[in-house]
Amino acid sequence: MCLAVPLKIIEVNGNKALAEKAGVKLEIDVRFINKAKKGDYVLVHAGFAIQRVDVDSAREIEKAGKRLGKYLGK
Amino acid sequence: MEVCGTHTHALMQYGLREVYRNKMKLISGPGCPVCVTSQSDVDRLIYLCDQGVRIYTFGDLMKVPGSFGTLREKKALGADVREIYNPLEIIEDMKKDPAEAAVFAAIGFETTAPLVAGLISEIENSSMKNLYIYNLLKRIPPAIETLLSDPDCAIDGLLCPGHVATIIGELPFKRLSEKFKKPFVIAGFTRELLVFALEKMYEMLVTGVSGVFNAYYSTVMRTGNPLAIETLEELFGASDAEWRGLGIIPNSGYALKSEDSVINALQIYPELCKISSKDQCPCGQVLKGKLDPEECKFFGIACNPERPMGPCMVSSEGSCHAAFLYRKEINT
Ligand code: SF4
Repeated sequence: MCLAVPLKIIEVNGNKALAEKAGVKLEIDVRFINKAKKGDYVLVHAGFAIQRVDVDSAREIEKAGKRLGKYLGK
Repeated sequence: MEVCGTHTHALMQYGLREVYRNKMKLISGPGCPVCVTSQSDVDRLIYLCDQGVRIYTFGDLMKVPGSFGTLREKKALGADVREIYNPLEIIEDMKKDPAEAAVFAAIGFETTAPLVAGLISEIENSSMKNLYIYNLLKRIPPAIETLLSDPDCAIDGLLCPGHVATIIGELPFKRLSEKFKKPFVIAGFTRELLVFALEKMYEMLVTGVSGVFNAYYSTVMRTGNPLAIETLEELFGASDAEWRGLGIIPNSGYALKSEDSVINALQIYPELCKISSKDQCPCGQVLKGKLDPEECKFFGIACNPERPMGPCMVSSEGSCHAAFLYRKEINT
């Protein structure tokens, strides 16, 4: 249940931000990220960004997420 | 022992249990919030359904059997039970389709707790007066402490949950490692990161080193996520919580600090405290790592993912579900 996916922020508006992955856009909450800005990669759990990550780890996590998420259905 | 449902699946999916069979026996602990939700709590939610209260919940909880059925069955019979992904969706949904009263069954560990805190501040900032929280949030470190304090405990090292640690950081695990003099390794979720964590664990076990090694350092900071921790500390204090199979664990819950908070479902429906029940499934033994799922007499026959008897078989992250799913690979 603690599964999280890395997304790239494309727009920030207060606590809200628009993030995307492979062209799919998702509104997320960034209140727990200090000074979230456009271009940041964040780890998103149930619609909330819980940590800022660098591009390389974002890619790594994404790979694992794809394999696991397929089964977990999330 | 790993205490994260996502690790349980990843270890089985990548066949790592087998790979390390001759070096370490990997066992699964209480790693999924659905699996540790007590039957009494499911019965309480079903009671609320019967009173005409709308229930919001994360998906997997819908399938957990209480004494008289599941939330999903209640929904099929016409009860107002709604599944959500992001807790903030509830506010939108309540605006679009108001209910007389609604309760959010807030399950989750440290990873999810800040999100519930976010929802609570949104409710407090809005004029919404009929949305309550049934707070089932739990803390992982006190559960680990209980497991390791058990005199029969045969756990030599802990693979710590990467996303719980993302929020709380390394320090709570460091304290436990010092107390019990055992190695703790914080692990990520890719095959490579898990192998890295397991190799480190093996090395620490063989050399007799205790302490915390952060094998998910790209994401887990030593101090966790300070903004999330601050929010949690503002809103919640520690309280005792009931874990399925493990009983009451001191300080493992998140009590709302303002006792008479209008959003606390227990304040609005005090009769919930009187509902208490017990089930037959020996999940508790599985969660403590004392019984392998396959050793349970119900496993696969009376209890399977189609007709689960206990939450470990319901949740896609439960040890029994994972053992059932990957059993062929294990036996061949
Ligand atoms: S196999 Fe079923 S009954 Fe046995 S411990 Fe697992 S969930 Fe419970």
